[in-house]
Amino acid sequence: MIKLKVNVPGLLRIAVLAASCVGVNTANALDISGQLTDEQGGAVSGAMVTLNGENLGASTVSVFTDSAGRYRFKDLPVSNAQGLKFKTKVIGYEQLKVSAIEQGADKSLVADLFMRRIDNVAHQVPPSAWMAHFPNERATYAVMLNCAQCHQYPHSTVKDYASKLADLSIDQREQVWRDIFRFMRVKAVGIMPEGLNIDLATVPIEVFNDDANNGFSHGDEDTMAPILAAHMKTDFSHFAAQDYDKLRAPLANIDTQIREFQLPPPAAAMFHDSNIHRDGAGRLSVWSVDWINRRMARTFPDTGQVKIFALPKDIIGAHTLVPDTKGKLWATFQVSGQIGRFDPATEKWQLWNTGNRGWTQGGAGLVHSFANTAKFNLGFDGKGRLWASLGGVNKLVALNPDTGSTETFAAPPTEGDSAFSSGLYGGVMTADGKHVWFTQLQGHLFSFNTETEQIETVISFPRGSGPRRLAIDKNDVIYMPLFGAGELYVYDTKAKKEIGRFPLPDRAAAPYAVTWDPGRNAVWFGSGNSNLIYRFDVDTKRFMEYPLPAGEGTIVRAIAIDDQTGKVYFSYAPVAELNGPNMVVEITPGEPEIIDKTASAQ
Amino acid sequence: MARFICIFSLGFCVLLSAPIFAESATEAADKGSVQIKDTSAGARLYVMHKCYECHRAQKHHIGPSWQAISQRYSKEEDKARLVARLSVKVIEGGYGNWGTLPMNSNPGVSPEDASTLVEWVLETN
Repeated sequence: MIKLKVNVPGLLRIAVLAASCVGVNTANALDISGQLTDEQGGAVSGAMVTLNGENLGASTVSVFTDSAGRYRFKDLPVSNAQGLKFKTKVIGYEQLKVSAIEQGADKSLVADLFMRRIDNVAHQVPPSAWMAHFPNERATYAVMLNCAQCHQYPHSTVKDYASKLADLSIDQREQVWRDIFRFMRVKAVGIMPEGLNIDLATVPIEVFNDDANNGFSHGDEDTMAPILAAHMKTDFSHFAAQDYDKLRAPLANIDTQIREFQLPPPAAAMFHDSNIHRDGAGRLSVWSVDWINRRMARTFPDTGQVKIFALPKDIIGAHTLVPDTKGKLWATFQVSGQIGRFDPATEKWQLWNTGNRGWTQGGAGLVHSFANTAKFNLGFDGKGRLWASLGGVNKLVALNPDTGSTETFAAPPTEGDSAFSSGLYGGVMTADGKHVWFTQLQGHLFSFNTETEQIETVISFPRGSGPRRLAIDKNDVIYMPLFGAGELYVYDTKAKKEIGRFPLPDRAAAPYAVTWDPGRNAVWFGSGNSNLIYRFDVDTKRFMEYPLPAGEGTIVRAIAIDDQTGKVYFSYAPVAELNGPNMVVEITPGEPEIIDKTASAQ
Repeated sequence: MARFICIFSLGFCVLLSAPIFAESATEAADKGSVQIKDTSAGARLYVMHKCYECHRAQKHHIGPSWQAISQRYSKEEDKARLVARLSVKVIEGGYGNWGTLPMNSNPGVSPEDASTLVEWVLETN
């Protein structure tokens, strides 16, 4: 037995272990388990314990402690603990140390971790926590919708800025926030995908400030400035741990495992959608498209290997990635306006223009999302057409890949918006292919009949609510995230009836894209603002949360479920400044005992 | 007029229509944007560090124009000291000298680059 005393806050190393002495397990299937306790000997439940090191088959592997503070890593593909590093993450605790690493009777390793409860968690909480006290109203929604889609909010630079306003009157602060909006109108343009080259320094400032040329709205800014002036803190040095507990859902459990795979440089990347594919031999890989650089990554979760593929030279801004039922992957190329089909077997693309391809011609389709089926495949209607949203012109496009023909249909206008600021967005298709349902960021969920080619139902939400990328289940029930309002909206399209609106435990979590999980009858969706993903169990109407090991500063995109294993796959990436991690994630959710440390708080 | 659109999913705005944009580049200079013919180190840093997001040549944008800055400090005699002082402002940000609007900190700008930028701005009239 080796006694080890290390005292490194937040980071616990067992790399120093004389690994030759302990932990030698046959067949490279090492188990490590242990318990987390606090200074009083109490169990620290719901803590994420992350291992990183060489040869783990992933960049990191994470598990969670149960109600007794126990964690366990099973079958790690290493023969000993040499080079492995522990990192723990649990809001409300710090000061970790390893008291002892022992070899258990079954040759597994035992590593107990000691932690200290802290009351001030200002340096640990995600940005969403600083929005929790904002009133639940449209102005707050507008802040979330306009700001958190490009960077977590309040971003560190926003906090830096807000902290300089302490001595100002509310009226002065309001003016200063208006100035920052003008700044963001310029700033938001600065991140461009490969193939788009604009010298922003030569663009007249009037161009940025004119709503006709810009996605920001002076009307929204009129509501956002007062609420920020009144409610944005100017001191971010203290946040009470018990206040954050109120924002949490019950957590992942002891059988949950999260494996992360770092996608390769260049560092200035934004892998947007990921989706899964099984090859002819049944081997699963995760494909991810990089919106910034013309490339695609293929990650093999079984080995951790990542391969990079170049995307076609004439595409700009790879955005959405959805499989069909024939083993092909379909993508939207947002800025250049194409739809593409990729054959993983031949590694060849076929491209179709949506009729709005020419950004050099002054027209912008901004092809965005497909209408997906319940199983998150690309939907085809009775005429063999797929459907996608053209966000730049507020139109739906129907493409028949066999004939190459495209048709476009107007989406409903949203009040006070130009065509593109309506924000035509995500889509789904009903099981019979007769309807597609699409969202608009500025407040609509609507259906379009693919046979009569008419708009049928239009459901409105308060401006700023932010309906985004939605899912549909096998009974044609829609699950839709409200990014600005922080709710999950559930609607029965057959009965034409709302089933419910479910506020997230953390309303400023910025839910982005929902996926239905047929095996669990649950839906999953990522957060843009709180470094986690949520699971919502349809039968119990309960939320659960799964924190991301390295998710700070990132937005989680579409989530895919592997129906063979029930594992959950997605990627997350930064947007603003592009200076966060690009990761592919595999979650094995684990089904037994649910740790409900926050039950009393709720 | 350059056309401007927003990729709403990302909140990114991108300029469309490159040919139209090219026509407006000359107008841009007149309207207070960077002198595109300036190939000096200062102009290069101005673009590289995205100073244009807040500051333009002659026109008040988010922050004061270079011209306004240059004029305000034109009577300072100890130029070296002035450059040192304003360089710190570039990096650390500032507050209160130009109204109530704070200047963001720019920790990515090195002291050398900040000095070059400040000297370049002060030379502008």
